[in-house]
Amino acid sequence: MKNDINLLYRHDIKKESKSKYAVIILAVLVIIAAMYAGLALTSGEIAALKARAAELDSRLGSGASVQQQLADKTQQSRLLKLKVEEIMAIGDSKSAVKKYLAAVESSLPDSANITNLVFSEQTMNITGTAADDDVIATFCLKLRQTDMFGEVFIASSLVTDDGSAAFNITAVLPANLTTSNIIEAIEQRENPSPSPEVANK
Amino acid sequence: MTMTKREKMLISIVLVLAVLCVYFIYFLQPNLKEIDALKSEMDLKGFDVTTNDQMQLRIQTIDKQMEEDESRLLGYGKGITAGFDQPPILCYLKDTVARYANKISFAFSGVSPLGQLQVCPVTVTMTATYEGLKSVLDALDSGKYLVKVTGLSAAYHNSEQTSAPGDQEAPPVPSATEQRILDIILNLEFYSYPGEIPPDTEYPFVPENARYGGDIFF
Repeated sequence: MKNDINLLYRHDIKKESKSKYAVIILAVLVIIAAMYAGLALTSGEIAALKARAAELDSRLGSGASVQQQLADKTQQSRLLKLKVEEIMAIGDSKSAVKKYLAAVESSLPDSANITNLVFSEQTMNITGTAADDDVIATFCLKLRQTDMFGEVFIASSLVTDDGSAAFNITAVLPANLTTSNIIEAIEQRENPSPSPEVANK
Repeated sequence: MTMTKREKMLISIVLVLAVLCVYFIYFLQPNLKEIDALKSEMDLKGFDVTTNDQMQLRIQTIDKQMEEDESRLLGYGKGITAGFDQPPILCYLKDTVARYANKISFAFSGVSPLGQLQVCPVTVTMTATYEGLKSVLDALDSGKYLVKVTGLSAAYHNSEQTSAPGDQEAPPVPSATEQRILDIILNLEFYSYPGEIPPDTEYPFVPENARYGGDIFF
């Protein structure tokens, strides 16, 4: 009787296999859930990205027209700026002859007078008579001291019949009186023509 | 055929791996690729949108700049007319010169483009005293047209004229300086914007009761 006693642990095979199945089913479910979650997350991300892309597309819808608009505006602005610069340049220089005339007037000694005065492009030419060469020299010096003329130059001094001195003075004007030079300079600055090498290429 | 426990386990693992591979290759990976493609597309579009926004900002800046330039233009260019309207300019010159000098001739050269403007050079030949010349220059400087003196030649008058020009009747007794009459050649430039003359321009110099349609040669 005593020998019949089985001391070994009795396996409950049925119970063990049930728990195994449960673990396997649970694992499968977890895997399926993970797979579903992976798909759902990526699909959601795709949907969100597509929505954002559509929004960007709608904002970009007028992109080409904005580019064209910018090009047109840039051109208009450039022409307007050119126009303003050119008019300002003309306005700034339109009283130049008056200023030069005033400078000549204030530099002319009492004992000298002018018989011919010419302002042309970038030169001033004065012909006149003076009591003597000292007066001509004074006139030349005074003209130079006005700082309105460059290279004040006594071209000639002649003794006339009545003993006075006839003179001819030339001076370089600081700017050309002709407007076309100023305007051409402005236009060229704004539209620099390509160098011959670049043009050839 | 019976499988051992180990074999069963191995087959289960292989099956699970196969399912995962199929899932990854056919479902997850395409999605991930699409996400990558969309993201790079978004980056490009984002860049385009930024560029677009910058262009819009630039347009706004240009608009503001143009407004400023327009107002500057109104200030500086108030004496510039649209289109070269010669008849009123002729009358303006006649009136301006007649006030201070004796007109000899006005010679208009052709209108030519000059940058964004157009220019008409005019040569005014007249006789005047030195004071008269200065007055003409002042009047042109402050006149209603944008006109620039581009050349001046003044010389003693050849004939023995002693009266001040511009005063036909009872000339005032001139001083020694004023008696010196000068032959003057003024080179002027009148500026205008290219374009048509506004149709509603009024011309006050046109006589109201003038009659037209007479014989051409008589």
